[in-house]
Amino acid sequence: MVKSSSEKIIGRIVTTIGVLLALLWSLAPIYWIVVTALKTSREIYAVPPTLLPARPTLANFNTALFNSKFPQFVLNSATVAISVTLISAVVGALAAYPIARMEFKGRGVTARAIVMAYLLPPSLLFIPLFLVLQNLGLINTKTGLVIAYLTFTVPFCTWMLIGYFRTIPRELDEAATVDGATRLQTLLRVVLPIAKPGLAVVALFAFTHAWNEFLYALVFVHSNDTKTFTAGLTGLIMGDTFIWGQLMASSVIAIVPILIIYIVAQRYIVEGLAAGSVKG
Amino acid sequence: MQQAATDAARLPKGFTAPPIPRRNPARKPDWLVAYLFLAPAAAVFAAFIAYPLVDGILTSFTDQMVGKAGAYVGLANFTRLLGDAHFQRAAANSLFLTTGVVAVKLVLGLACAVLLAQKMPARGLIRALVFLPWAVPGLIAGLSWKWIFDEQAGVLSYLVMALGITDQPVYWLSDPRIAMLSIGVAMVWHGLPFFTMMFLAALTAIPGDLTEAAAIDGAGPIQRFFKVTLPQMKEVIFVTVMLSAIWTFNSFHMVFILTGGGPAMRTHILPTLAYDYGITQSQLGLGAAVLVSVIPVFVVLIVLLTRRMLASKN
Repeated sequence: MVKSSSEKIIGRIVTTIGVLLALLWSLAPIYWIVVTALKTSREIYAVPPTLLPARPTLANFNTALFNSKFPQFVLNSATVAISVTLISAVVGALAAYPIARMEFKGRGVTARAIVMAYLLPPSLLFIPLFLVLQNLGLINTKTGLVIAYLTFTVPFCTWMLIGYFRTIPRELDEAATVDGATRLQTLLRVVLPIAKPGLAVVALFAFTHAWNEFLYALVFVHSNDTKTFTAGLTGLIMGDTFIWGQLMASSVIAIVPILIIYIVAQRYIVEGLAAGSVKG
Repeated sequence: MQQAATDAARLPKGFTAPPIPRRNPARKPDWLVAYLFLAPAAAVFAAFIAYPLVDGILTSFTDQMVGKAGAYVGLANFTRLLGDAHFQRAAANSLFLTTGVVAVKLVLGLACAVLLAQKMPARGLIRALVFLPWAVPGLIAGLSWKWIFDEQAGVLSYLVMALGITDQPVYWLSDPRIAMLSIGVAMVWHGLPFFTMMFLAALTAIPGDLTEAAAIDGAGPIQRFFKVTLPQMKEVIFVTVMLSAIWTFNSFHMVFILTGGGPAMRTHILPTLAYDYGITQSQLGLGAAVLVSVIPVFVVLIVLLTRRMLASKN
């Protein structure tokens, strides 16, 4: 590749400045959450604001963890998110297999319905779902919230898994069928073991979505034993005064599980994103 | 194999084994199995997506309140919305926010992707850090920016005054004109990594020889990007922009947390207005009507996008 040396130097300077700006933009708000969480309430309102906490303290974390309802909310979030993840992985895998592999009437329509359901935004569905859950007596229950999240995660998992299943050579499950395996056995013993990385990414996405979700939690649950942390934190900001230290400490705690997932699976997540919406 | 050979040896002479059936005849037909596999997903779809959608449309023609059955009122909700200044404002805000935020994310996302595709030390770590906002839950992204934009103790007000840009406090979230921009900034922050990731994946998939050939032909870096790289990313750009348009339109949490639609209902977008009417004010019929009014827009977006997404997978 021919490149003049001046072009190279300019390129390097532009790249360096660009990367520094991108890092500053991406990290500054996150840094500000963490630093605020570590400050005393007096220092939080100090003018000028301090870039580093003068007297770092864990008092806000202490309050959030031991002196508030927040741990209960986190536990509710975990219960809901794990249930959603398990159900949608199973239901999604079952639905994705026939669409990826089998011939049946209505396959095209089914695939289209799945994509459309995945694209349908929750903000369009929250009032009608409220009515349906109310009729079923499931408002303010974790079951109701799990059902609400399935409306997004099931189409999403199915859609992603169709893509993963298609990357597996067809000969493998044809061989299993010839050997007399039923379709269910083929799915469980041949396809799923190979699709394990894909299944893991899909499960992670489903978990993240259920963990982070805000609108349905806000509308469908409202008592301490059902509220997820997103709805719980909203309770804190709805008061007249904002307890920023405690809010930011709670935020840090709530980000940790997602951050761990994200660091562990970063590479797969990027690949998964690309596989899910466009051909990789 | 071993087992089959000994079995054959024990068989009486003159016996010919029947041909091994390729499919077990006692097995259920394939289409039935397919429907059984699809049944749980279909149940979720029918009961909690399709039915509520129809129910929501029907509700928009009633005066239903929370805890009280509604009566059919025809188009009353819709005619009321047409003359409703809050609705008009929310529709304009939705349009402004969605197009503005998506356009900014598109430009910055392309720039970031090109940037992160360059060779540099610690590239993996830098990429992970730039993607980090994507991993932050939407609610917390909103909270973080609400604190940054805080008018009394927020860091941004201090910075702007310390740098001498203004000597008046800036009402980031309580001046409606500025508030829409502030909401947009927070949305760009949270949504940009998705664009960068998608574009970066597409960039790295483009074979290098084409850009090299263009370079040998004397094309400068900017020309190479617009004439060679960008046309190859058309498909990814289309899908990313459409997906993001749907999600940005849907960014209920940002508006709800940053301004709650205020002051004086002037920063609502359609989903938060629907919440305000339907849940806060208990007018479910009217709230449903707000949501139904955006269905036509979504039908167009979703149909276009579904076609592309299915095509890319077949």
